[in-house]
Amino acid sequence: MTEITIHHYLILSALLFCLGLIGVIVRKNLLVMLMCIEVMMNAINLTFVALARYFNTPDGHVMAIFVMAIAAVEAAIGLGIVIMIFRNKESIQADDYRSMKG
Amino acid sequence: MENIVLTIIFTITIGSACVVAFSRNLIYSAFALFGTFLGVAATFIMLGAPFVGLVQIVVYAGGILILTIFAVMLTAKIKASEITNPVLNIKIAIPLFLLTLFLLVYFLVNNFWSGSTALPHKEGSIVAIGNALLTEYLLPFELISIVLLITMIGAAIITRRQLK
Repeated sequence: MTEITIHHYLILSALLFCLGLIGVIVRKNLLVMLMCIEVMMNAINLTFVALARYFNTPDGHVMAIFVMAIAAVEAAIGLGIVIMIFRNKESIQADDYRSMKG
Repeated sequence: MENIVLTIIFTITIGSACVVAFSRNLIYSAFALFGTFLGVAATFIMLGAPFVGLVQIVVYAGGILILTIFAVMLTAKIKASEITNPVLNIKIAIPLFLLTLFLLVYFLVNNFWSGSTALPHKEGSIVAIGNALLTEYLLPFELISIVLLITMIGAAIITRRQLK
């Protein structure tokens, strides 16, 4: 068995980030897109904490806590917007909101 | 032993992230998100950051996930979600996925690592995080609290019913 190095954690976070990215691209449901953005933020947090362990400083942990606060803000506002526009059109599919297109 | 535990944790994290991204049922996506959050929290704890892992569980699994499930229950027509939740653009998405993954892994793994890639055996302490938050990062810390306050007011304003 090989030793666990920093590369394993970084590859895990790259995979998580790419899965979140592909989720945002392939889905048309606004709620699933928001969930995938949360997955991407988790991947970024993972990179911060892994590098904090590698460089042996608490800075990465502090940054991860800031990212979590911003994620909470984003979830509150994003879900508020989703619920508001659901009241207008009775749909949460992104394709139904094309009225601002040219 | 550590390898086996980490393999299980990584598998759970990646597998449930796949379910979040590709499941046709909205409820399955929401609940698989729980597995992703718990997997990442377990990874934090394995990385010697137990405080960040616990905050992850409290904030993500306890707050954001509950909020998301509330939004799913309030908006989606649950019965119809299996039909109306398609996976589109997959032909564009797969090359983009592979390209992004290749670039990320290439730059993360190949460059910048002059020394050893082994992880030092040092636990991150809560005392160090608290000291950093209240000295070096005091201004961002206060700004984040103001942002959170404004967000609460803004979320309350945009979701209320308009009085006519």
